[in-house]
Amino acid sequence: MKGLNAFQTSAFVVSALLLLLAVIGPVLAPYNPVLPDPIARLQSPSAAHWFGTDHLGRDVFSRVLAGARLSVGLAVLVVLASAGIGLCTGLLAGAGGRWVDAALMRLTDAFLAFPELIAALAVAGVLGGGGVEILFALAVVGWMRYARLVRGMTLTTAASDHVALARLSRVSPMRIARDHLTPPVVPAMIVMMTAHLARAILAISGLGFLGFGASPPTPEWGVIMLEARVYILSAPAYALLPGVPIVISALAFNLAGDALRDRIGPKEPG
Amino acid sequence: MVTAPLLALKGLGVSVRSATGRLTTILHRTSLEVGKSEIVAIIGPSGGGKSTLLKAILGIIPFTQGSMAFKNATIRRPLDASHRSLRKASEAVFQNPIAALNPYATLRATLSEPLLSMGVAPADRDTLVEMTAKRMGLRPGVLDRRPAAVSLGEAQRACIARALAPKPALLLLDEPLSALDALVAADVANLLTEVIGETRPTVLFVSHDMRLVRRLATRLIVVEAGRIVEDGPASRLLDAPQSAAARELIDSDRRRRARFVVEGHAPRRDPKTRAIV
Amino acid sequence: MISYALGRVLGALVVMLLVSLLTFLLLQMAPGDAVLAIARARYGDGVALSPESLARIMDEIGANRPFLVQWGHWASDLARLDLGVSLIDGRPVADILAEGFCRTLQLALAAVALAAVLSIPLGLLAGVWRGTWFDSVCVSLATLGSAMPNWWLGVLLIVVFSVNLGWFPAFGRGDASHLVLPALTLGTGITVTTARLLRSATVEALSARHIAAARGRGIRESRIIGRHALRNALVPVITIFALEIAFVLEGAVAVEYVFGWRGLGLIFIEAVDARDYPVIQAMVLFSAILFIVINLFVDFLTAWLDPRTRATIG
Repeated sequence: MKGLNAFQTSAFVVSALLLLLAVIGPVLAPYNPVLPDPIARLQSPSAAHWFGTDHLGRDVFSRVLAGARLSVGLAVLVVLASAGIGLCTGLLAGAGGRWVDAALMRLTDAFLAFPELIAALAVAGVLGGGGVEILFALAVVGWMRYARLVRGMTLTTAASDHVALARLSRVSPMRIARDHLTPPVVPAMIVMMTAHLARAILAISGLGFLGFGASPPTPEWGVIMLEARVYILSAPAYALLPGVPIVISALAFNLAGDALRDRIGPKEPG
Repeated sequence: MVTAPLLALKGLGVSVRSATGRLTTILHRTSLEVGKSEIVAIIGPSGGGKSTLLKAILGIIPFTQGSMAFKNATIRRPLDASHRSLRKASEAVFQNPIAALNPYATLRATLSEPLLSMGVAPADRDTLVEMTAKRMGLRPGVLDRRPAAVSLGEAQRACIARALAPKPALLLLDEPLSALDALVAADVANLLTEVIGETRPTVLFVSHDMRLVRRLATRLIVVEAGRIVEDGPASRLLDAPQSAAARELIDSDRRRRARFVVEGHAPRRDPKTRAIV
Repeated sequence: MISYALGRVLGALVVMLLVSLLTFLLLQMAPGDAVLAIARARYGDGVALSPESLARIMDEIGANRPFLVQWGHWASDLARLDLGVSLIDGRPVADILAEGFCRTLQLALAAVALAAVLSIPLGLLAGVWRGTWFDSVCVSLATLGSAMPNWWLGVLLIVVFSVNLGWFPAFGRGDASHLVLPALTLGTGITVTTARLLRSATVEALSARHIAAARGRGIRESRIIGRHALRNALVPVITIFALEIAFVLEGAVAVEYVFGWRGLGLIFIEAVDARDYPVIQAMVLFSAILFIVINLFVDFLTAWLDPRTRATIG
């Protein structure tokens, strides 16, 4: 892309690789990520096992690669679901008139009042852990920023002549939302979604680390760290290394989001 | 008028509450009867309430006092059933074609919109869109472009074609030529006059362009400070205006036109911002 | 000013009401029968439950009344600060939270103090020395810091300072040395956000016109920074700092878990794990109301600090 420095370019490359990893990660794993090997327990990093082996003798690097599917893949779904809910709420608030707007914005304020991790923990905990439950919990706490962004821009678009004319011509509200109101918010939403990917990866692995993620044999970055936590004194590398991909992906998506915002312009309100 | 009017305003008024909470009346109780196929020009100083009048009739700005009647059905509240039937029979053209076109849709998509909601079959829709666009002087290729890629004149021709294609019974035009340079404006005025002559809709139009008023209007209304101050046949009013506002407008238009010729200055669009300068 | 304040307080009350409704809804989302869940938590899994005891629990929690009535009862209990009792050990939820609150407050105060001590000089100097190596290092660290989950940072600090260097204890509570690592972990997030903002506020303040004028008059640079730039830069910083405090509780959840610090965060995780619904609800509600109150406070503070808003709302 034009106008990006080497740093930003690498952020985009790493982001793209991570998304690719979510699809093909499990295939790339050099060892079986879930098969225990009692002889090779808690080995230090070596040429054979780059991140060492875990308490069951499984190759940690393989588990990290395979874990990308849940950690990154689920984050993508969380972002898409949040953006979808936020888009619908924002369009409705921005184009639905004063009372709908006031009601929806108070509701958005109420959802925003819950700290993200605490609310997600409570929802995921009450529902019981699992991919769908985590997706639901994180979408429930993640849609509000999109709603505010879309609502702000839609208030402007909805007051424009072309929307007034479309309404006069009895174009259906759905079609107006799709053809007139949604296109202007797409660039800003993409910026927001990129940054949200970073937060979603942190949240998913956080839930996993706190014990509310995928159930143990399934590899997921936070869950791997949860399993390793017990061995922090005896095998510090095992306790730390699975967190590196989390930091790298959050960093990459953050930087990519910043770079996109610089290009598209600061349209994000407050 | 012998037959019942197509549209009647009965003490229609618009008040808006400003950000500070003060209530301002921008259109005072206005009464007006417009017959079928009448072509009414509305003139008056800027900010006098001409556009508000059109937008209140269309329901884009909600009216706060009085009522209207359309085809004898009384419109008591904005956007009630009778008002919806008025809106169904109406199309409009606004001053700034760039704001009036969806920047993300091709002209073809925008022109198809009204026909789509009328339930015109896709094949007929395309034919009608292309025919009307051609009638308004748009080259065929232009239809598949977005507003950013067409000239201001082409954009306004598209807006007018969009309003005319569904053959509305009521056509409201808000300064349809003011964004265009003189040559294009003259051409568009010609086409507009021709097409209106063919389909014979009832027209209410706001304009500063006295040449357009003279060519098109059968009746002239002068609006000043939110009130109708003069109303009569266009031919008589243009030559012998009674109110000071009308006299001033007609004279200044004459002076401006003279200056146009001398300086050759016409409004045009800034190539970068696409704003009208 | 008074009507502005009243409007804001009223708005906050409406949001609080909605928040309590949402929190109440949370329990309704629980899969399976809440009555059975409570009975199991109370009498143990697999024990044969008599219809009488189930009916008693049902009556107790009002499960047979309409949803809004249940919510009304729950909310009015809340308003009297009656948070119910824990399903696990029967202790009043208010007592459990109060105990945890003191420990979390200790941790939070240490973290906030640390963040203030670190972020203000770092952010200010990075802004003043924009473009130097010092600035680059600060910006890079801040970028890295915001990508690092605090629980991973906690593990990292334990590995470095407890396991390898042996300077500080890794887990539990005790003397002040137990506080260092968790406070540092918790404080990093606040430090990063505040320092970032202070840096950009300083850069902006130093490029303002009256600063250029002061330079033109030959006023010493240190005086310019102290008298003119700092004062303008501090308003947004105080705002963001107060807002960050609202996030301390959230951050404390994972930090307390990593360091085995039995404050509100750890109590919450244990409650979620055990499905101790009254504790979960109380904690969720408390965190949200804390957020609303801090936001309200920040709004008033901003209005009071900023002469522009003071003029318009005056």
